[in-house]
Amino acid sequence: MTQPVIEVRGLQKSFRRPKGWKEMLKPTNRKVVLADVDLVVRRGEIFGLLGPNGAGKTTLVKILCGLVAPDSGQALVAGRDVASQGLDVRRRIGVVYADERSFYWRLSVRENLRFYARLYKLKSGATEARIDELLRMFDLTEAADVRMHAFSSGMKQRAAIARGLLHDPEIVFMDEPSRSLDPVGTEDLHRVIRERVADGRRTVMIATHLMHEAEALCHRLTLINHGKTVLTGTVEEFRSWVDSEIVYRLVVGGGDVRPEGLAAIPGMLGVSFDSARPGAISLELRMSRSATALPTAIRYLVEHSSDIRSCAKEEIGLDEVFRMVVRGQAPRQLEAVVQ
Amino acid sequence: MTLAWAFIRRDWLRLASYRLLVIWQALGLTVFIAAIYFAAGFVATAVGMATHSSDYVQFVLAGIAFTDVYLTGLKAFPNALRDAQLAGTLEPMLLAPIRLPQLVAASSVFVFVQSLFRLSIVVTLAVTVFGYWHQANLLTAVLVLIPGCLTFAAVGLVSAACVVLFKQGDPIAGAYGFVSSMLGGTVVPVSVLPGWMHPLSQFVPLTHALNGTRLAMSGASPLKALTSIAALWAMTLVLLPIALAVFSAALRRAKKEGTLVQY
Repeated sequence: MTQPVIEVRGLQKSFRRPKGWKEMLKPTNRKVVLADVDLVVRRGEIFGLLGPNGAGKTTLVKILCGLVAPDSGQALVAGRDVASQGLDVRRRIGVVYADERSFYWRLSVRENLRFYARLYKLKSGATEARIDELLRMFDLTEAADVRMHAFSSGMKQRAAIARGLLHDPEIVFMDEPSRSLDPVGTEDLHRVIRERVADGRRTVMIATHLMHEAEALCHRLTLINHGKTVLTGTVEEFRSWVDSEIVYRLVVGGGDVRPEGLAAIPGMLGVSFDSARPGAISLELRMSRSATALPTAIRYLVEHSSDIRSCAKEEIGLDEVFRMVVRGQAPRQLEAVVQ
Repeated sequence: MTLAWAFIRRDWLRLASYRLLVIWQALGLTVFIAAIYFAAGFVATAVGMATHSSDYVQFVLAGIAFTDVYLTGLKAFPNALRDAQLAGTLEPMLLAPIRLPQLVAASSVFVFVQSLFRLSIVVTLAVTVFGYWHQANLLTAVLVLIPGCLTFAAVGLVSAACVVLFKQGDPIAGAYGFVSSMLGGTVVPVSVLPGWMHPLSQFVPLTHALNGTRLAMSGASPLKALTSIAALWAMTLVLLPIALAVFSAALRRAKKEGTLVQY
């Protein structure tokens, strides 16, 4: 799992902002969607492209598939330049969308797959066997000859994966694969991706805004925000970055509690102070797990407030890292690894 | 060929899934031919061709049936593209290892097959029921049809470029189709149009396509229809490279702006 199969260097992309009638004669503004993105995905890994809506994930996937031309920079997929060797790249990739409309709903899934198999120039003798194999693999055999408009979202999504694998591509791109699925459907889909799509030799890139999805599926992740790659690492590395931090939420009675007094405690990483409620102060104390800031903070609060009414520990999950980085509130130890 | 067959099969299955539409299309064709037969007699009387009403029915039948084929060339590409945009299937098709012009051409094959089927029904009925076109020269007809369809396909490609860039509001297909039908002599001979329209009609491919087609249906040899055939090939040779260049430029632009699969 060391050989790079997707390499992105200095990729930049901007789009024209849509103009209203009143701005027709004004100069066109451009919105930067990707700003100097660098990325390496290794053969056989499941790579997560994480980011909030509008971060640039889908644009990056579309550039890698050759549907959008980059302004500058280079993207290599399976060693081929997407800008100049588009056809060759498309032979080697499969793409799975969350968009259910990408099928002919008046046709059965078998007919849909037959059609797409012809587009991928599968030999007619091998096509039927491959379609049967995929239908079995994705539990669609019984519904194979039913028109797709009768399919549930989960079935359509499984059909989309089957289509993405028709020509047995070496790389599969999945754009928000669980977007329209319920929790059970999502869980089933994750199992299918783990067991049947990522078979060890195939590389999978998943664009998602769901941290738990990335956590459940990916070996490595890149967090992308405002068109920039912000954090890259394994799931374990992401976890270690946040595990080094702990948050306590406290409510104390009035008194002489000052945020700067708490912030000065060694190991204290951040203090959020809310005295809006009369006679009570709500505190959020973010502290290093390795330091012993809590006893010192409690001692300070006992000395400076009338009483401590509640104290609750809050674990920071990967979702919280996502939120902090996206909102530009990354704690100090995360700032060290933010690119 | 496999690619074209895949699209024909797809489009047939989609069409066949709308049973009422299939019945209605079959019924519509029959009604259409009967309407032309009876209406042409009235129109012929109105324009002073009463003594030649049979000639006029042939004139109109050939005009409408072949214009249908030629205009298919004009509308097939943009319609195929627009249909795929709206159905949401354009993106997965674009991800297949096929060039877009090849994809657009293959997507349009079925409508050409449909229009040729309609034409064959009209011709068969005209020959067997009305007793027209017994002397038709098929070779001449094919030699006119090929460049005729190609010139319209070239304009259709420019129209498809408009769909790639602007999605809706394509000015080419509608306007060009209308002007062609007006000046090209579909239902009224060019000779009865106002004098100032005559030179303009010579720049319309449909004029030469229908002239050549009518000559073919009356039994003219390829040599007698040479003027029409030569004019159509000349137009094809000028229009097709321009159309391909325009379409490629539209494609590059849409890829740059990321609007290729928008609708």
